Amino acid sequence: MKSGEFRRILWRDNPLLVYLVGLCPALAVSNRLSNALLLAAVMLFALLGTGIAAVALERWAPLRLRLPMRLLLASALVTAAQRFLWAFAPTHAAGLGIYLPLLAVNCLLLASAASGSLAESVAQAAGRGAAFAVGLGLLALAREVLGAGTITLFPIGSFGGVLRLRGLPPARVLAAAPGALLVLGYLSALSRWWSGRRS
Amino acid sequence: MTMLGTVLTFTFVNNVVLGQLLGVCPFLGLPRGPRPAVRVSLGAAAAMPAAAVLSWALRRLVLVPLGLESLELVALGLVLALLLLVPARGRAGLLLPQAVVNCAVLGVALLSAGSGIARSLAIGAAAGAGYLLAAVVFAGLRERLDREWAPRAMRGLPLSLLTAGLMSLAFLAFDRALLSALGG
Repeated sequence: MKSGEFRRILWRDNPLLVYLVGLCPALAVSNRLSNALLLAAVMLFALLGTGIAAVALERWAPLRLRLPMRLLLASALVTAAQRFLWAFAPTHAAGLGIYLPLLAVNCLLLASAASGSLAESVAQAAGRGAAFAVGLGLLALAREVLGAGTITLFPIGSFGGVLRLRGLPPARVLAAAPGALLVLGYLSALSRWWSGRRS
Repeated sequence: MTMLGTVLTFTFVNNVVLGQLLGVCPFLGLPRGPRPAVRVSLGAAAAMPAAAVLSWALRRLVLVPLGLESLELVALGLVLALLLLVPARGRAGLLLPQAVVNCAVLGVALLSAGSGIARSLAIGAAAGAGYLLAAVVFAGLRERLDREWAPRAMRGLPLSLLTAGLMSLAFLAFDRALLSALGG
């Protein structure tokens, strides 16, 4: 995969912001940046796992079996990630709630086309994972800054993990459920307007 | 919580799409107009109570006796994968994968985990009714909005998202205080 193509999937063809694919568990956890980044990391892990396994399995499996196989693979990988998080970061795992296991039926994870070689498949999975992280991170950043006036990251050393911004009073509704839909609507309109202006 | 309270909570307060943000992808892709929208979403809505009962049975009969509760997701994934292999023709052949690989349906199965059979069924049915209600209102709104002028960048999906967002805002009016006032 060339670098130009990588940039294209990150911005102009971002699955989350432009095509609105793979929204299911993503929207609900975009209330905090830390939740969004954690979900994106699990997504990248599952994408790489299914991508690698798909190359091995889909060489001989008939077309009918592909979707069921991916579903099973995805649920196994997500379960592994879930057990890992509950063991090492229980507070973060609790923050994701049922939306972490729901990643198993994410459209982005299930609908990726089987592409020829292993390297191609891994590159495609990495590109999709990065694009998912960028889209979800932007959405979560906008929602958290405007809706709560904070930026929540992970606590490292003496840094508690939460940046508080002073200035504008937070619009609480953006941190609640309607905010996810409204902010994503404006973000996708903005990205369309931007790419329409350049072309 | 009483049964009525459960039903009202999962239909209005925690509406699957507008409150819990589950199944937003198929929701945004609904056809225009209430009638076609109902026809398309009936499969998913009917799958919700079925999934709730299924997940209860799976947990009660297989996972808990074997001590495998942590593998609930894999077990559900296995059942869904087997369902995808069921041969179906005509309209059922189109609707089945949609209802199976639907995050709202799996979400209801996960949400009802740990409840008894009656409560699971009530949660599933209420969630399905909430999904249908949201779909009918949304499809009607979209049909009207299609005739109005909108800036080019806003047409299509962004406008759908804003419509759903404003509907979700309206559904915030159904809250626990309202429920307790109703005697739930």
